[in-house]
Amino acid sequence: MAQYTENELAKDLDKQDYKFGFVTDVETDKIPEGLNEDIIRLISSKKNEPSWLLEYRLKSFEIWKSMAEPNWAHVRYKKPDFQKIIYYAAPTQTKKYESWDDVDPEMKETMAKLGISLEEQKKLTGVAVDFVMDSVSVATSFKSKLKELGIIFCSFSEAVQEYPELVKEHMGTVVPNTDNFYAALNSAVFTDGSFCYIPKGVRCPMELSTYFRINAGGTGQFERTLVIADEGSYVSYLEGCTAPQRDENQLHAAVVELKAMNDAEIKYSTVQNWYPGDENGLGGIFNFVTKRGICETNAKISWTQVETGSAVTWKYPSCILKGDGSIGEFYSVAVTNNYQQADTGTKMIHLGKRTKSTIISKGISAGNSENSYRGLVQIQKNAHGARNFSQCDSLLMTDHCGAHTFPYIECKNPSAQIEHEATTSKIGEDQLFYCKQRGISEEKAISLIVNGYCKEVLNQLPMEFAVEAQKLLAISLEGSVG
Amino acid sequence: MEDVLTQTKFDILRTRLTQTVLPLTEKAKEKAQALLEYSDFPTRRNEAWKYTNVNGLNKLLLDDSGSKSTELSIISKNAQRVHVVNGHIAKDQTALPGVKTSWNLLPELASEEPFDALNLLYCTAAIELNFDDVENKTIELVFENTCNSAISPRLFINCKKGAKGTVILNFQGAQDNASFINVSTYVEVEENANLSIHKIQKNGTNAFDLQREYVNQADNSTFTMNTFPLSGRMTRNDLIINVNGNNCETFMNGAYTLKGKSHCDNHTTVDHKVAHCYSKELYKGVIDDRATNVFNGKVFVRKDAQKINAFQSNANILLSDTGTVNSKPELEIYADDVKCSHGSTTGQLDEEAVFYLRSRGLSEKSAKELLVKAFLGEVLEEVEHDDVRSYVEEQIELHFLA
Amino acid sequence: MIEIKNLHAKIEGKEILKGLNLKVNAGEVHAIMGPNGAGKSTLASILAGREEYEITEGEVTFEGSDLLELSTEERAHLGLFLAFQYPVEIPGVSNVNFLRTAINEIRDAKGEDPISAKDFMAMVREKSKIVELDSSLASRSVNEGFSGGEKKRNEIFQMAMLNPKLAVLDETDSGLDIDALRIVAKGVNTLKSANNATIVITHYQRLLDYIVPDFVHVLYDGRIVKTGNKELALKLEEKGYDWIKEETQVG
Repeated sequence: MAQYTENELAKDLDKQDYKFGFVTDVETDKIPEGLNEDIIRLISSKKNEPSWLLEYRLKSFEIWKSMAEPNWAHVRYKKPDFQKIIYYAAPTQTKKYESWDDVDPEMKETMAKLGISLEEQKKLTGVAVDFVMDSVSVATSFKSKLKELGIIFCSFSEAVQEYPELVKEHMGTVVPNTDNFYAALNSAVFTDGSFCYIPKGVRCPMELSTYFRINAGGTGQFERTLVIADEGSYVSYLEGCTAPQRDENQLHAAVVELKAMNDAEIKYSTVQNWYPGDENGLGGIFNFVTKRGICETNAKISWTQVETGSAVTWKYPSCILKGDGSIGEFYSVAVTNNYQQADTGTKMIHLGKRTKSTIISKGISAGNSENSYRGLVQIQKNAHGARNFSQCDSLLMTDHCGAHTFPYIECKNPSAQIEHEATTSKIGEDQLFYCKQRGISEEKAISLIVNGYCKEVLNQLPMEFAVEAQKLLAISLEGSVG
Repeated sequence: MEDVLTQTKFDILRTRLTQTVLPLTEKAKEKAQALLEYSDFPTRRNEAWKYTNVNGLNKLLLDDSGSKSTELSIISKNAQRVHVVNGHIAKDQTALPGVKTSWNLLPELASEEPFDALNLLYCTAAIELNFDDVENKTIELVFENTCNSAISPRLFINCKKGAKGTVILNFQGAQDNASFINVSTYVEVEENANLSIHKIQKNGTNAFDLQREYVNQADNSTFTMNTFPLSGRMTRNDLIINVNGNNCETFMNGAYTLKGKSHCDNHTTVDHKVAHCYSKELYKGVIDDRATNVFNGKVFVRKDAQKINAFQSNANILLSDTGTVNSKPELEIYADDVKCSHGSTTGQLDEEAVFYLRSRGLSEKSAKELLVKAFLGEVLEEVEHDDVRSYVEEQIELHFLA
Repeated sequence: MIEIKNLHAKIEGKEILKGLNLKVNAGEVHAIMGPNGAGKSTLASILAGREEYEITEGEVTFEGSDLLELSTEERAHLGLFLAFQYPVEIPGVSNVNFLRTAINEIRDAKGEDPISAKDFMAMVREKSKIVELDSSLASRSVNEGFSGGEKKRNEIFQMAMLNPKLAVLDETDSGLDIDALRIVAKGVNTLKSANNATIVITHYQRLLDYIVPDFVHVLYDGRIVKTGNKELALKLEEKGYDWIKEETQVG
């Protein structure tokens, strides 16, 4: 049986509002708002970067200027004013902490409110956490233990200083700076993020975890994550995201690149809970993220995401199945409530022979929200024996919301087998009645049914993340019955 | 892979078309012209033409050359027939009940589609069909295309309150015919009416066939559209059904057999605007050689259109290494009390089944043929008109003989 | 326990119950029989609080409360249990998780603390024996992929876990083979006590060979037209419902 139950959510159910809507009062070092070459030079010099990286940033900026903001997704929003964004905000104490006792108490409190008290996590779960507040990674735990195995897990800036060859070799090879508008922007102005390298044949013994949080007002978060799993290695990587409550929209444009070498496996899990805006659609994060992984021979990349936050989400974690026998997986739960909009899905590009992909997407729409699945399954000419299975289900909670499915299926190889199924329906009245007859309140019945509906995806998450994800689902859907 | 002949407007094509037979008002003419001037010639950057390149249209000469007669295939011997030869109505075929070819009403552009504007401005034949009887009458329009011409029929089909009707649109092209067929069909299905349209597109191997059907359904009506693109260089069908009435039933079926370099693109939209309706769509086909098939099915369920059951399915069998399948089934749902689903599969014939049949003595070729026929049979079972069904079955046989 | 007085109810404008009266005391087993369309399942649905029905007249008192004023879950909190004719599947929600949620909600309504995991699991083990339910069924999703017989046994298992005051079994015998029927009946008999009561709604007499009723009522055309003991059920089995119809029409 499952070791946790929705009962444990009971206490959290009372808190209707965004739980993480607080601002940490630490001094931040911000640079002037706006975007130009000087700003990029300033960011680069503040981070003491090598010249090749500055050149990469400037090149990306040139590319970005020549691009237009994409508008094909099923979302509507006021385009951000890129000159009104502060591209760099760092807490002023940027020194590295030797032990947790040295960490600023305010900061610790922030972490505690996030429910990721580091000490506790250390003891209880053995999760190594890289905590990214605004743009600079302030703390990384478990580093020494990982070091023994040759695993590198550090902030992106640190990686630039310590392992420049690795960064230079891999950065931008999965998501080039020409890829799309937001990827180009990120490549120009990214401030920090996480870097992870697992050496050949090493199985990372713990879940690596990063929490992202947007703190300062008017800042955009442009983090960059690069995970390299060398031949035959394995890593499970967790990413959680929160942001305080603010009236204005904040932009978050991240880039995540994964490289799974021959026989390697990367499991990448995200619980995204950026501030979604209030019940009238005011404020909230614009979450425009480019995530992509390349699989070499017999490698496997598995994306799992639980998306409950952000005012507008635009993201398609993808797999390029380059090597023969490689596997791509995408498991997603996307919940939208009030005036949230999500256009999310995946791309599975089958290049190698006998490549396999699985897509399981569960969309839940409530309030006046719009929730779209958009996915591409592309079988290239040489992908003999490629297989894809996609299941995209949508659940509607009210009659003001929308649930949409836009799958693109492209096949150029006759030995490929592609199956796509999608259903859209409302939450089952009979199921609700059955629960109520057994004494379960409507709110709780919905939480129970929705969690059951998402089980296939939630099962992919590590246990502690699964519990958090269930709580988020319940909180996101409160008062959503139509 | 942009064509050398890239150009942005419809100018080249327009120089090769002839004046419309329709009596248009100045206003209607201006409106259509304005749309054509405003619109770009479709490219792959346009989502609706993402997988279909129609640049080849600009290379068609459309000079009325060639006059080989087709082996005329009539589908239904018992039907009333109207013959349209190389785009023009054959004179002796017009005095049929329910059929009008003289034009009193002044037609206007009703869509935002540039090819519809082209059809209006360069119309070669306008035909109106009216059904006002409960007796299910069949009218067959036979389009014989022997010359390399621009063929632009504009069709109006009205099925009146409580009436029943069947229309067969039978496009027959000479073997290597290189026509530009551009058809706009406007359909009204009134309250309690029941209309079926069967469309057979057996075009010449170099023909471009672009067709649009705009359908309105009123309360308690039933509408069925069966589409069979059998041959042609390029076939593009846009079927747009507005379900404006309650308690309607809508059926869309399609079967296609593609080979050579043919490209077939079926776009369908069923727009459920009101409650308590049912729609079901089934498109299946086999793709061989260097052929490409595109399917894009849209189901809209508008706000307050509750109790909608909508089902959509597209299945493809890819027989060759060089064929391509692009499938995009879409659901856009804005009401909550609905049951909608879609499915899309692409694969090859079941090797186990082929092996099984061979072990029972069938050749590999006939085993595959049998399985393909069974695969397409699911669509043919939906076709109630015996003549149409047996014609298509026969064509599938011939497809494998050739 | 429960008293139904002059109950009238409609669905989609059609009157189904036309003045139904019934009183059930603690410790009693009542059987309600009747032909198809008489209103048997309607009665069960109304007692459980399905909202599609419109009550036009009458009252129902359950344990001193006005039942019709209560929400579905409040009725459950008071100890009303409906064994569904068609138990619904809830994919992804395990049986135990479902039951633990239900038990804790009921306990919470009574101001009691939640049940401990240990006590709960001990209870699952004990009660699943009553209906010879394979323990693997307890961890599977609620009713998903269960056979007809398993679904019905699961209903009785839930009844054992929730320990209701009044259980309404809606056509629990339908679709059961003789072994399953025996197990279900054994479960119901085991749970019977002086403090609870059972209403068995059935079309056939055979279930009553195993669950012996104190009273048998015939529901016809929205009313209880005849009440008797077990003999009445046997007579119905033998002669069908036509004689009741005639009698009623004559009356």
